[in-house]
Amino acid sequence: MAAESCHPRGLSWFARSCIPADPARHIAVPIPISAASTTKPPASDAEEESPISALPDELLLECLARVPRASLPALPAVCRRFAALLASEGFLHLRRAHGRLRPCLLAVSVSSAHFARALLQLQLGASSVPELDVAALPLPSLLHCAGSSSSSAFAHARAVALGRDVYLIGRGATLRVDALTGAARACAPTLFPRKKFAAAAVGGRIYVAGGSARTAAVEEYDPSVDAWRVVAEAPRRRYGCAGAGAGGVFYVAGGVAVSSGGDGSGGAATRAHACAGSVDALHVASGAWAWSARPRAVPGGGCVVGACGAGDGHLYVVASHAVDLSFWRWNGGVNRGGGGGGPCGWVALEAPPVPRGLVGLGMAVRVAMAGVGGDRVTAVVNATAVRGHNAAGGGALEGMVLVYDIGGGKWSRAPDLPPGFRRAACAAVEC
Amino acid sequence: MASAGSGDEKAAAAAMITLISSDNEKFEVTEATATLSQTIRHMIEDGCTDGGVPLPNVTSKILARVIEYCKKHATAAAGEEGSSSSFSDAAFLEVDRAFLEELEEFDDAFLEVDRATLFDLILAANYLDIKGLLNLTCQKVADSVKGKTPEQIREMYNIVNDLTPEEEAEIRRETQWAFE
Repeated sequence: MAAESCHPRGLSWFARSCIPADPARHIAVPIPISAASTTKPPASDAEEESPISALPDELLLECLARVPRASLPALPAVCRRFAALLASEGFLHLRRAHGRLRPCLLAVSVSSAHFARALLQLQLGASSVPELDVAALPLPSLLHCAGSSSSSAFAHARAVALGRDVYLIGRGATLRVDALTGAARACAPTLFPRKKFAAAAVGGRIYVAGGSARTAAVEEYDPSVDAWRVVAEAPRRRYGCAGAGAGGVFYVAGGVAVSSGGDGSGGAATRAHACAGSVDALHVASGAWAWSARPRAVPGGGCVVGACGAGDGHLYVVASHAVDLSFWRWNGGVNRGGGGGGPCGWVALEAPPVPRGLVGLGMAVRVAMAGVGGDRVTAVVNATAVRGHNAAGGGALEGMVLVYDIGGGKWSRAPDLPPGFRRAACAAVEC
Repeated sequence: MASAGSGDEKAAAAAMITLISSDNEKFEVTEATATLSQTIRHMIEDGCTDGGVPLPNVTSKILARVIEYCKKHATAAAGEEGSSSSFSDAAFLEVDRAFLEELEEFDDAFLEVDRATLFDLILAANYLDIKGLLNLTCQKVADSVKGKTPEQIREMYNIVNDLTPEEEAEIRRETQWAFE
């Protein structure tokens, strides 16, 4: 068997002298059978047809994978082959292998006429300075067909990354942005219009919940068919909530309770608080809520202002208290019933280093969070004075980027997002 | 120790390998030069190189260029090994830096070829499994499309646009911002 593999006609030159040697090793020797030698044009004439078409896909991909990111957008429009290669998984793998993909924070901000993209490089070389790349992109014209105007549709949009694509999910409109090429395309909107809702990716699909008084439906988006469907009913209707995905669980955290006014029992304030400081958890494979009767409350009585999952399978939450922020990890997934005891439960982590006076009475804090792989969590902090209150400290805080190192247990500050990204939706991508 | 090591190296370097191009031209190279190609290295390890190594996918013109590259980089590799085994004082670092600069200059000059030759070099580098040469030549192609429009890229490489006008319009709409 092994000896035969040395004998194909094309390899006779090779087989002649190698049969006595260990044949098993020869199988591992790469012997590309290239068509190039037959289609090679006369090389003497520089005006001749360029043999780029003679390069097999794997080699053309080797070339394209080395193109600087800023020059990628032009490539898909060259020809079908370029477009297909650029969209392929192989392109991504090769770029990663060549160290050309680095973890980034992608912030997308939409205004009436355009959307803007800020890309913050999170992994730095020894000497390089943090790279912040901001581009203003015109809205795809497809979106103008959507009923409502695009600026209001995306005013409180959520960004969710699936592989290299970032989905910007707004009210009645969804936009898919290829983080590498910047190509943007309109996708199917959520079935129910939502605003300030929870959204996260779990297992290659997107889940959304909350943000509507009319429905408790949890929707699932399948990117392969570009369609949403209802997969569950949420135990609480939360508005202004945050979503997180980790370990096969979709978490819906914080927000205020909104209801269609069914039950009169229990004060509205009680219900509101039960939402603000708590988390619901949907196990997406079984479609079951982990603790539907009583949501898991974040200790300390704070209100959840940001949440995300990380690659380590845990949920991370930032809560706002009277004068400061706290930061928590939920250990133990959703399988164990008991709230306390053992390693299962909430673990207090170092609080995000936000300047004093920026959190507290009269300030509204929003933290857009994203897990970067399994080792970091980013938090984009925005604090604005609530109308009617004077800001206690140095005024508003916009686009402050904090990065938490999960292994080291420490926060550090990255460059701020540029002005205009206060309400930006953020997602972590390799770019 | 050090002198014994370099002595062995010299003995190895002295062993000659014959490479035979597709048009039957023979090239005598040292083993150190030839083993920059992983394909040839495996053949040498297996003792498959007696009577020359036929390379039916590589013309003499391209093989000559490939050997030129390998010779230069084989010397560089030998130089690196030599300096790392001795005390790396400032003088040696200085020598290293000068050598690296020289190597970069060589690479730049080496890439001054027409596009057809460049693609032949990519094919040969892949076939012979020479990582450094593959990286160098592919990067050259990648750099050539830097900042170019789709039209310029098509023209540069004589690529036929096989996208329908509708498909092209859609792709351009998606990445419209890049062309403004």
